[in-house]
Amino acid sequence: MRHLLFVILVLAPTLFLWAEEPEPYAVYDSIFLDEITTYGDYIKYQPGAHIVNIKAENIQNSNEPALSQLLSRYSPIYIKTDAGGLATIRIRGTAPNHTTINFGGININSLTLGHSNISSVSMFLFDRIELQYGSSSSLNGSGAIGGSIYLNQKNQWTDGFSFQGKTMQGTFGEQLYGAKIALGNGKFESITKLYLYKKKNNFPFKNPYHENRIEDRTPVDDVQKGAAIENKGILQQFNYLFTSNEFLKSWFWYENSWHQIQPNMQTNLNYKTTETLDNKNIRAWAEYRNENNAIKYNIGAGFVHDYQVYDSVTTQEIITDRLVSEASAKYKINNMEFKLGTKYKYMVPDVYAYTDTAINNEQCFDLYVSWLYQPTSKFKTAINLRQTLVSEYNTPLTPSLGADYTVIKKSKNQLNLTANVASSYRVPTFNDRFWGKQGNPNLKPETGFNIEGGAKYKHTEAYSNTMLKVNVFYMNIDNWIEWRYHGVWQAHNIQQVVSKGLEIMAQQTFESGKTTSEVNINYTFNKIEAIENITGSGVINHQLRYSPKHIANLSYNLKYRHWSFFADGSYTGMRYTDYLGSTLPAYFLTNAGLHYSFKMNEHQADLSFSADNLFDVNYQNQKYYAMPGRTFRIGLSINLNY
Amino acid sequence: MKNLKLNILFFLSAGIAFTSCNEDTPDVNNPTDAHGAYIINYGNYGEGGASISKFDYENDEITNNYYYNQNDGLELISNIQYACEYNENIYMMGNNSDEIIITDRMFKQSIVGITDGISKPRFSVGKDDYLYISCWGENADWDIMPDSYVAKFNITTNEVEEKIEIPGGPEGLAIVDNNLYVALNYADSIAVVDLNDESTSYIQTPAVTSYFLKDNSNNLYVSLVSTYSDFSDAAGLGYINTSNNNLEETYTLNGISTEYTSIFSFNSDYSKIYVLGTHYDENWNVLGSVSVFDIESKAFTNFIDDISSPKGVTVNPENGDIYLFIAESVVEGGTFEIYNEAGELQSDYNVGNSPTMSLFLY
Repeated sequence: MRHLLFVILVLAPTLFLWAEEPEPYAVYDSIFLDEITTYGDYIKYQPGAHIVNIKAENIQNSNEPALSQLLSRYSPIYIKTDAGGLATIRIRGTAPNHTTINFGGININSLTLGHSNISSVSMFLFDRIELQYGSSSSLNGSGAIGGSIYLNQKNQWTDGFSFQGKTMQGTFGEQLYGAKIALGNGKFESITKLYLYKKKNNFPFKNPYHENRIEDRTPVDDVQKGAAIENKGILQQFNYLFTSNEFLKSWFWYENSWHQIQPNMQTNLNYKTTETLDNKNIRAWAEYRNENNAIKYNIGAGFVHDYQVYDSVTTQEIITDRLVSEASAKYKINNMEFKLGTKYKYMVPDVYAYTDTAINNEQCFDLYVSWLYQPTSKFKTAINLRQTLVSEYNTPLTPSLGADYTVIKKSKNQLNLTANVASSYRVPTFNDRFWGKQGNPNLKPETGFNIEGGAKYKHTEAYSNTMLKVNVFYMNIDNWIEWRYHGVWQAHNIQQVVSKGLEIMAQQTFESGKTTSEVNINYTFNKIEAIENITGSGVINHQLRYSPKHIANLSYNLKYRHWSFFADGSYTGMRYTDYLGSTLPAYFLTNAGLHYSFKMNEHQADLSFSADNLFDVNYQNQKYYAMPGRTFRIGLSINLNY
Repeated sequence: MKNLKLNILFFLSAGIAFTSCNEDTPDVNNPTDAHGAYIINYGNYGEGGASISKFDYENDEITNNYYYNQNDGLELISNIQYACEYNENIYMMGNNSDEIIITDRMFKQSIVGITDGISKPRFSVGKDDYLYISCWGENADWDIMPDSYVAKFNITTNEVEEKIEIPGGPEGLAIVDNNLYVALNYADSIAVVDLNDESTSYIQTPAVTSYFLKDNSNNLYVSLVSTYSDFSDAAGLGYINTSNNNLEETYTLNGISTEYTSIFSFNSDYSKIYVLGTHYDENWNVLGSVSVFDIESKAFTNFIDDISSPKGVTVNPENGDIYLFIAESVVEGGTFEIYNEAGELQSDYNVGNSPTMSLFLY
């Protein structure tokens, strides 16, 4: 309760701002979680979809080094995580491999596991993150059942030279060093981003599983061991602007993420050694876009190399390579726009546990078409169709239909109603089909059906903006794949799952003189249950494991001249850890921080101080795994522009 | 929550019922007799969930969460790989965290688990003042298991006195005379340790091995298994002549289970061996089965087919009932089924998470 009280107290200044005589409103700014204001094709052709973004400024201000931490803090999405080494996303309660993570034309999810460790996606490398809730296979292909994440760079077209250097030092040996170097002449630009992140992760915690626990069950002081992290990466862009409607962009991303596999609390007490996981990833994408003529087209190509080795055992390497190419063209006639595209992937696994005869390569060809229709300025709708052809595998046709209707559009008030219906699918992973003797080549693809509707209301005054969005959704996923024991461990199409719920976003911004403030509230109610199970003993009509019904965030940001202050809290509801009644209790975490920035001519420096888990809450996100208590970070960033 | 309320209601009702019964009625909440079958529920690796279910086969009564109840709400925080009774104590091999949990025959624990010298314990067998415990060691190179060993654990001091290095992933153990037989789950051989001088020799096998069965005449059978890291066409059973340490016969049974702990069991008079196996149906789904190996005819016959998710099979030595342990996932409750010698299902019970074996106390 005291944590909630704290958040209410820090929100109190907003009330005073309400009471002040407002000065003219200038900037609608500093939005933590915002509706999309810049348009990519995946937004343009999904008018009824629920897509939000996290801005570059907020990514930088939060000081959070990884995507997992950023999402935990600012979105009502559950991230299952340990103390930093491994984190997976569960949008609308779905599995980690039900969310695509898109970088250029590449879904970076592992071909063997189907998902990504989002604690190794560094926020230093990206300018903007966009989140899509719900299915989008008609645009994003296999795996986009529960949601999608888009890792984006902002358009810069550097003319001159700029350098940003950043360092962040935190408790428990946390260090971040990063540099961004951009140079160009307005047409050609090179942007280089590189970073090194390290954390010893030797935080104290209360351990209930101690040597005297038979006689005295009071938890004892312990220190986490064997949970170190070291990630490093470089993202290189070469871009060329031919005309304002014609450009070439390329990205080359190398990531090396290494971490010790965190021992659980009972093992930590008698710690001996820790196994490690080492990943090396190369992701490259280049695309040429020409929008000079009536037929606008885009071609792209990329390459991905994923390498993983467990505990340095080089005889058990997991390697996959893939080539990706994509081409699309669009044509606009009056109030309609058509888009036709293809995508081709050539994938080669080299995994120690696959037999030679199981698979040499796999090819995947996608054909997609979109139709956008906007008969009036108040109404737009789009239909998307996608058919994927996978060598020796059948996948379903995935259509989607979305619409956005502006019911009220006045100078101060705007009300929009949105609706979206989408089908989705996921091709089983290589591991599901080819792992050792257990690979199950007869797996069917998972298929999903998603329907959602929402209302978004905006009220604008001279000095303030208010936004409220309410979204309801229903999702049905059939042939849900899980590894089950049927004599040997094997992937099976086990169950049919229904996820339904409500998402609420509220935002209030206010400006008074040199002071601006912003409050964001996000809440998700999500009931997700299996409704059918192929096994006689399978549990149905029970909330899925590690899927909280309630999750919420509350954030406040106050700016005054060079200073800014933020505080935020996140609530994660109770989660089941098995189907025998074991649960993890809900927890509420509070964070706060202060920034000071100043400019000298074209140059800028930022100094930041922040505290996570301010009230030192003892909690578990994953059963038996200790989480850090109060942590502090201090950061310095220098931007030089020439 | 609904189930929890029902359970509470059930136990409250049971409590009232027991207090009003005559004095001969056993009190499952305060047992005084260890006699029974104890089902070891492994749990979910790294996330606990292990438990013990006691089955009183004379009264057909199952008591789940037996260890928890006997220890005033103490959780089993390790995953229990194997348990045995030796010298009036119960020894449980705990994984993650790695420890030997020692209780009395009532499963009451009075000392903390032993961790020194114990790394990924798998199986144990006792002789004199020692328990020999197979351990996989710290190095996770599962191609060769270079650091695996057998711990020599002194039951009077509760300390590991010595580590006998046995590379290759030691699993099942058996002692005949003064030889310790060690099944190697990652090498095509059996290690034989002479307990007089701890010298080690090897018996070559056509597949990796997992467990032993020993009858009352020191006839020793070993399971030969085909694993994804070490495929073999010669999976099945092997017979070891313990007088000369030769693998004298092999009996092929494709699909013999690669599961751990209780994949085969003698019947009560040692005339048959019940063996857990798997096969694939036409849709590539894996199904379990139990076969019977007749010691005299040396032939396998089908006993139970098309079992979904079998984790273990064992025979109650007192009454000959065949127990089958079933678990389709590591996060749901498992099932324990009882068959008669004709292969007819007699009864089944819900037990804890991932039941793998039964320990019989008399």
